[in-house]
Amino acid sequence: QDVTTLKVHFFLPPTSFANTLFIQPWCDKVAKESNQKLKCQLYPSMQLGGTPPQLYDQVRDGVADIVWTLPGYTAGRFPSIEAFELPFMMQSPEATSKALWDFVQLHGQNEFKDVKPLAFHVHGDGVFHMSGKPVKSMADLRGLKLRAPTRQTNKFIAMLGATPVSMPVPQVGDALSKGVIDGAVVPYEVVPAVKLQELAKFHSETDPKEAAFYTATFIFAMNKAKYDSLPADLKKVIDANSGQALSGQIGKAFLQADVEGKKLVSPASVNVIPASELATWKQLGNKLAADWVKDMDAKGLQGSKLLDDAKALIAKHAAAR
Amino acid sequence: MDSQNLGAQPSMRRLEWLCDASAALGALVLSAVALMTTVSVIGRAFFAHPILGDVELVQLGGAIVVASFLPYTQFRRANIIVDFFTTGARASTQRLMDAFGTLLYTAVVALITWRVAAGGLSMHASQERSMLMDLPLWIPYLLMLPGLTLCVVIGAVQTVQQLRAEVPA
Amino acid sequence: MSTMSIGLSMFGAMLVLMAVRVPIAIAMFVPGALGYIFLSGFDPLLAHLKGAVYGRVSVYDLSVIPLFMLMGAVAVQGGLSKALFDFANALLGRFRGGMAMAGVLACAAFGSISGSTVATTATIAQVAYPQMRRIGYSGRLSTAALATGGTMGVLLPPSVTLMVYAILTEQNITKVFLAAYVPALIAAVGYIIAIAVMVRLNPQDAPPAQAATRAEVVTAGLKVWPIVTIFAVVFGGIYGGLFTATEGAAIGNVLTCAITLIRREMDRAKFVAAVRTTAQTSGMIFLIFIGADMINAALALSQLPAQLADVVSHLQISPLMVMAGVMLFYVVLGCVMDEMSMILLTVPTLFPVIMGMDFFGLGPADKALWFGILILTVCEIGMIFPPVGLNVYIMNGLARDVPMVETYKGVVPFLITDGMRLALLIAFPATALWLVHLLT
Ligand code: NA
Ligand code: NA
Repeated sequence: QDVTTLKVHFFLPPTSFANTLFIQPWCDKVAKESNQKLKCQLYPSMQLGGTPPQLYDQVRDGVADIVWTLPGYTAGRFPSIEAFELPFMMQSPEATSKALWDFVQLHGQNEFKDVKPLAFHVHGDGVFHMSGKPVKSMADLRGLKLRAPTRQTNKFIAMLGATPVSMPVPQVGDALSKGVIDGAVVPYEVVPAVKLQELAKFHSETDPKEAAFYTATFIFAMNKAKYDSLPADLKKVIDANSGQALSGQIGKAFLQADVEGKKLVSPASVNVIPASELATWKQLGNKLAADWVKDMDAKGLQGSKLLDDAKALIAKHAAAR
Repeated sequence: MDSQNLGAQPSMRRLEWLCDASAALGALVLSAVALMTTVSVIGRAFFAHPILGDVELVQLGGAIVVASFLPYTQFRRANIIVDFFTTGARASTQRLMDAFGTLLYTAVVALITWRVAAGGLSMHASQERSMLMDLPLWIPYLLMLPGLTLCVVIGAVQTVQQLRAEVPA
Repeated sequence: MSTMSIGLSMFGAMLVLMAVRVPIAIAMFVPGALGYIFLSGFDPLLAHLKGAVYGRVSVYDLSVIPLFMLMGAVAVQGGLSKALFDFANALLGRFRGGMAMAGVLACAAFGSISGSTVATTATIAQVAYPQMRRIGYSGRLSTAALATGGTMGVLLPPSVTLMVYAILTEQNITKVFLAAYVPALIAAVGYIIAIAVMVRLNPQDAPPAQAATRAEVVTAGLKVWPIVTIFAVVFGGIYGGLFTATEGAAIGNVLTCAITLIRREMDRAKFVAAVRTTAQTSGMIFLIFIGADMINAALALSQLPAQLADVVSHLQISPLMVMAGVMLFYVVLGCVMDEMSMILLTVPTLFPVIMGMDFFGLGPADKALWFGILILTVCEIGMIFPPVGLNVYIMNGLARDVPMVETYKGVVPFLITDGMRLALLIAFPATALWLVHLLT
């Protein structure tokens, strides 16, 4: 039997933790378990063309066989999953990633029906990476241009008093160095992929005992027709390497990536935003969540049920650890 | 390229008018983008209040601007060719080559027009919106279509002209 | 057919189509699309094109092109750029070829912030080219100087290409920038010498040196303040980090239009002419982007750049020969790719190979910096190297009265200095490294 090559397309460079700790190991495992019949051809850094927001359509339409991307880059298309991108939802990436997988099984089947999802996951705690001054309180954000990834996080950034600028991660380094933005919110995992250890002077975390002030959701998905075209034995390999378990593993890998990424920045450049300050932020977060619920209701999507289910699933998986 | 000669034909005059109109529309959108960006920078610099979503407006506008500018470029035959290897060729040979080139141009632009239309339909179906202003993304796709369609028409007309030797090479 | 031979066929077909007068954007697009079909299928091609064209024309950073085109066209029609050049010429006219040298330096300054050689060349040429011709520069020297100057932004910090190299190879950005300064300076000096030699050997290339009188300088200076103000605001703001290049271009547009309207130097006919120029040049540039994008996607799919890099690395030859092969390889890639695509597609494969070889006993960190400066230098050269140099095409498209052959003739002296710079860099890695060692 011939070797099937899977074109894997994603936006980060090959040196990113996302590749070295998750995508490449996944490919190696799949190749091994299929006796080298399933092989990845990696196309990092958007080599196949298009923009990061177009990755989802690319895997849906067969431009790529597998992509790793953020549903939130395409605003408005995957509304229910936004429940996980509301502020202060996530404490453990592993538990939240498992919960996210379960949540999509419950509520997202229609939104993701055009692809074969292999995993859903979230990244670790969002961190402020600033070029001018550290963030110690909301007041420090006033008037600054801040990059954020998704619609809900952009709204939250605006509530905190900063001006949100929306751009995919790969542009962050250049934008920071040229002063297009004053800072960016991303987890430590992204630090080497955009050189934040050099381009940002300050890294402001929120109190680690508190939930993350934001996270973003990711999808690792395969083209449906490609999956369907595989013989039964290879389908089994894919099935064994997808689902809730893989989602949890990726969440765990991203936590590890955060640890590795944080090692790259100088300890003196890190500060912690205390829980006392975060109390005000949480009130704003609740307001954003209430707005989101109303928004979902208007779309006929039962906003409060979505939010409650998301919280319940996260709590369930957090308790199981 | 002899524009005097082109302008002499009524059909070409009409096409030129359309290309001018398309370019003017592009320039209008471009000026609006410039003005909006300037207002946003002033708002940011002096009032800490930029226009939320100024970047995405530039992106959306940029697509419309470029598509609106493309027809005039082809009307002037300003899409660059390499004359390096054919400077010695006979005028009739050059004209045939140009007809072939324009035919390929027409085919490519027709393909692109079709695919941008399909992309717009797909955006409409998926309800994708811009991040901050919540603008439907099928709109810029749609607004690219008049310019692209005009490119196809001009390419087709020019191909026929070149084959009939109506235009000096 | 192997993916590699498909990749090579695309290259060959592109060259043939270009040779028979097919517009270069189309000569890139057609083999790219056919190659894509061979490699991936017809449906994937259709799917790719649904988003790719929109993706290419809706890039925030590239919107500087139509914006600066319009600003330049309005400034030209409103007489502002003539005033600027009269003043610059009053100052520099005493040096033969001085305006061409100033053009090169203007390109370098703009290129280091704009992030794209093509955008740089188009923007500066829009303003500078007609004026250079007006005061008596030959088409050959004007186009060659501006096309070559446009490539300098690849190397000159804060180049985004350098930054991407640093990320892909996990090098320190500051050190990469430091390593680039001296080679970039050598490039500028080399180009200025090239111009000085050219105008000496071919006196018809530049107007005779003519020292302006004090009165002439003052007269020209009095007319120049509007455009100088605009430039000071736009470029000062961009360099000072107050706003982005796109924002600067937008502000420049508003200011230029306002000043020409206030001074009643704009009428309907002039405005129509400005819009037409803007449409024509922007359309020309973006169609090339669309064509190059298609063939780049197909080349990425074919893995040709990575495979060729692999072939080069397995040749049983000395490291310096491998390096020579690598250099040649980039010059060829420069036919169809911009600097960023070249770096993204090849560095991940080539870099480990180079790191595994011995060059003058350089340590890994030094080797990485040196190699980065080397390949970025060759990327620059690839953009203007005959017979296919993307930047030469763009420049020539803006200078409709100059045959391509003339531009290439003009580029030769610049290429000679580039060759010497490259040789210097290869023989003496210290050219790039001493500043790094000095300051870190
Ligand atoms: Na070349
Ligand atoms: Na020309």
